[in-house]
Amino acid sequence: MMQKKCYINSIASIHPEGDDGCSQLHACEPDYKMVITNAGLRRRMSRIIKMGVACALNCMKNYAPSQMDAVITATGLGCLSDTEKFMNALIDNEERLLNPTPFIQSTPNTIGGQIALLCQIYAYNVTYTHRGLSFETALIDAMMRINEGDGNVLVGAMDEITETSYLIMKRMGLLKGVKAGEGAHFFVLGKEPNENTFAQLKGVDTFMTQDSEEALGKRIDKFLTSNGLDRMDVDCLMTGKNGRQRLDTIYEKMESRLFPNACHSTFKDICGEYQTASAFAFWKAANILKEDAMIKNILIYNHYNNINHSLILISRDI
Amino acid sequence: MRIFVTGIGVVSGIGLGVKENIDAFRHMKHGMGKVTLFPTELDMPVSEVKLTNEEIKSILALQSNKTYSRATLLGMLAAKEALDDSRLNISSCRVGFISSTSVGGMDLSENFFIQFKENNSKGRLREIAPHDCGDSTEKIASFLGVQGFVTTVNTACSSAANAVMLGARLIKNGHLDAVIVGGTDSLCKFTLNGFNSLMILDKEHCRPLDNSRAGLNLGEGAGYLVLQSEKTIAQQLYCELSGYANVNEAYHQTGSSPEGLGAYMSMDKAIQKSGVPKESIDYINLHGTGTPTNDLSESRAIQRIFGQRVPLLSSVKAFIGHTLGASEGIEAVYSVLSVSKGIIYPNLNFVHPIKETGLVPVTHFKDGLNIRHVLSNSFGFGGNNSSLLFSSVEGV
Repeated sequence: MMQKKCYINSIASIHPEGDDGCSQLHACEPDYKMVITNAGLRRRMSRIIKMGVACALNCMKNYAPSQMDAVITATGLGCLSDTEKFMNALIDNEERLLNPTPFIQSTPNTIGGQIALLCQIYAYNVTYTHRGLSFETALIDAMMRINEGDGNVLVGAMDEITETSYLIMKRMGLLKGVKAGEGAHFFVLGKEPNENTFAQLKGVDTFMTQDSEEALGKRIDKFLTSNGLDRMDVDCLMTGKNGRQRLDTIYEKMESRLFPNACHSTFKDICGEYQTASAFAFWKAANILKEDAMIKNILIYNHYNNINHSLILISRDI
Repeated sequence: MRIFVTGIGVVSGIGLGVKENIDAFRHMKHGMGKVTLFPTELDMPVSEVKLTNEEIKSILALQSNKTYSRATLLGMLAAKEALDDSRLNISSCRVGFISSTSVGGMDLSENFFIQFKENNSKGRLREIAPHDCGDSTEKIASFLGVQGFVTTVNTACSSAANAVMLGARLIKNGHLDAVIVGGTDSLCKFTLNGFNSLMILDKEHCRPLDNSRAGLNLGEGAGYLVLQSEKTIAQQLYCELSGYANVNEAYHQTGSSPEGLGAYMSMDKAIQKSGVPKESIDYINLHGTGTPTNDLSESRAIQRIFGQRVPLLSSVKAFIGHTLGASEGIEAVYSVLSVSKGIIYPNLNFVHPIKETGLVPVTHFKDGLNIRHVLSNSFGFGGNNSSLLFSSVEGV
């Protein structure tokens, strides 16, 4: 099926501001009172829920809820602090008299559900939870929804650092030379461009471990060809370098061998490493395309622990 | 483009594999019993898969010293059965794997946490690494040898229906040729206590659609379908996935609205999408958890759609429990068999109809009927409601 054009018409982000000397990059959170006005509801929400919901509400501020034909959310690890809270209570209280709120809010679709509830959006609503491909799956779904006739799709991703998740990832050796990160990012994708349009989402490709540089090169060429481009058309290559040499090598090879003439950009130096960090890259790329007239096509290549790989192509072509 | 079901696989509290499950229904053998998988203070009936993790590893010829979450092991059993059943050659076309789970590796995480809580340098990392929902999906995909598109859905109790839907749409949009879709979930202390804290568990055997119903029983298991379009079908097919819909009720984070708006919208949209006249729907596999609110709102939604001419209907939850993220994987398998073999499942423990609605479910096993279209519901936390419609191939 021919892909209909898919425009990025609104963007919103809550993210860290880069290196502040700490080992974790925490998101700079807004004053939630201004965005989530229901005080009781806001008090019950954990940090990730507030980040996600506030970000989504900001992203939709120029839309009536009835204009949204779908709400698609993504998260690698879901609502961790509520999960921990319920787990601790369960152990401490020996399974007696547990408060259900953290259990209810521990499921990863809480944010999508809360967005629907707060805005009364009865439309299609789904949550993807697949490690480094969660956000990418959400984008693929959103593009299909546009293809199937939707006018506007709200799509977003969020993950949070908790002390527990940080400690565990550290013990697993996942943070050697790497800063842990977090954030929430939402986008309204539409079938028509408007005066606020940032860029066009052209394509998304995901795959599991790619053994060789050659295989990756072929995959990229095929992806670009299917979108009517070749390597020379890519003005900017944005990679998921995270500071760990073993994981960054493949990005460096791509920069020097496949895209020597493109400008090279990164994003995890700002947002840190986490499962849905590519959503921040998407936000950053959309901004670049709106601001820098010299750049037409941006290719984002990211991998999560060299297992989940993804390619996202976005273009000025409006 | 039409989407067909070409393979099915299931494991639940009433059996391993399609045949054992159908035999259990035929002989009215439910899977409820006491919790044996983990120590717990709660005395609640649950429907456990009657195999230990070690026994499953042995069936699957996996190394016994490797750590797998129980959801992974259950998923491997059912997904393998579905793939083998379809006789699909996975290297011949673009095959994807889309799985859903709501608990992921929580059965292991809760072990890890006990030691970690005392001393955060303690706890075996191999028991926390599979915590996230994607872990089971990747391990099952790798076990099956699927190297194409792989992803995980989690919309709580409606998860597997959304996995089925995504798979069908990926084929229709030209991204895949065939896809294995469904869900897996294991029982664990976390969910048992979670549902207990919500006070929606019945201490007795659950009684879906009965006026005396007082809550649900949890269960575990996995169920998968193989979906293909007419382009790649080589031989057998069970039925067509003719309609599907996903809506959000936007009423409450956990409860369903008394009038069943979400249930109404998801069934209505699924029927509309299929183009099947609602009078031709012969059977509804209910979400039918046995909680006072779900069964009332689902019944009202059905009456709103079908009026006086309500199709045959029943809930299988008193046999297998509510299997959460696996529920529509398992029940989609049952629905597919309903269409292809003319089976209607008995609704166990039904005596008196719900006072407000008076719906009477089927209470005996039937097969060999002429079932043209089956509607299957799953509704979850977060207001996520989904319905699937399966149709016999002659009937479309």
